[in-house]
Amino acid sequence: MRRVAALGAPLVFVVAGGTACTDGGPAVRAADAAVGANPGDSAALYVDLTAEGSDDRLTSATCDCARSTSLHVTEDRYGILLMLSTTSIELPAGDTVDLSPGGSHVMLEDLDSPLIAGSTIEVTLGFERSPELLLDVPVVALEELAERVTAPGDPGDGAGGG
Amino acid sequence: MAILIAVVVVALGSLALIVASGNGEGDAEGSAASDNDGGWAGRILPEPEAKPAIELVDTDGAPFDLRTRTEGRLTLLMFGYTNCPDVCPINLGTLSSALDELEPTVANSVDMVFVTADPERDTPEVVRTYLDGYDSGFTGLWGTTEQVVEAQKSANVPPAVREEERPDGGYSVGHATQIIAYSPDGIARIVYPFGTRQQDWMRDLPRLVAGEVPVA
Repeated sequence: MRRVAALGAPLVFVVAGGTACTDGGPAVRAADAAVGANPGDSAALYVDLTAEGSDDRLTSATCDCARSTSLHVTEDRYGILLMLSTTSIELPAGDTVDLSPGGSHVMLEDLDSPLIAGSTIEVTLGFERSPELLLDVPVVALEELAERVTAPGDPGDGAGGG
Repeated sequence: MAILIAVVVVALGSLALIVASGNGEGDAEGSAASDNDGGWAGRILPEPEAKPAIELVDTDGAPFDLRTRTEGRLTLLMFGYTNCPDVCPINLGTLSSALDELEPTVANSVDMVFVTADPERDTPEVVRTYLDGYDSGFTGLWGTTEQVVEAQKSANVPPAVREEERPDGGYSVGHATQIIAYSPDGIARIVYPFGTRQQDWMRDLPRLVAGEVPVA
């Protein structure tokens, strides 16, 4: 398992002694992980994932901070945003898949305690082919996450929709 | 054989993101807002809409008539649920942070009304505790499933959909994500989609409180 402080991008992996890590196996690179300082019992984890070398899938996420976790994809269906549970999220080789607000994300449920901005939580991501990643995920102010919404809801023809 | 791996993190990527998207008032680039001639950050409705006649129960369990109780005040209306991990926290947290930054005379002139779209789990008490995590001044409303569906229809938003229950008993609720802004005259001419930034709210709320009419 690789331990990653996912504070920024890009991540560079090196072995102790300064030699670049080139074991040749599949690997997923994580960047810009964040979770909101949500005062509620649940929260969403966002992160940019890039499968290097070959296709992969995100298949699991675990965190001691939450009683359960699940993977969600989101669909905008007739003006309402639907979160659908899924068993995996595809990571095509070489593409960066953004798990972002309003889109796919990792849902953390039944949090032990409210998430406080400035702290971090440890989350382990599991993949179909690549080794697990242990992320130190920063808890950020919710207004910072609004900045990451790239496709705001469309209000449509009336007040409805979104 | 285990290989000890050291990790070097370059944080410039996230820093650049913040700088690029947070450069303040009047910046349409990086903003969720539409760019219109009136300089409004929200999205102008093609047809104005009257504040709906919603009568539900507040978090004290008392009847709440939306039109009567918010008459003459800027009223923001949103439907959501307290187990929402994604949209609701960002909507409520971003609005709350904007109100904290605005002059108290402006912030105190805004009524934020959150109607639960998950009345089965969200009792009035649960809604109150949830909203207090953002702003104790936010109003929370509850009703039966039928009443909440009618409230959404009357506000011209599609009714929320309860997703299939998971093995652990949990479920998600799909719901409209925008915040509707009813001006002090009781008419909505603008809505704020999910992803509205703090600076968007700070740009528009003082104008709306002052009674300025959003036009494209």
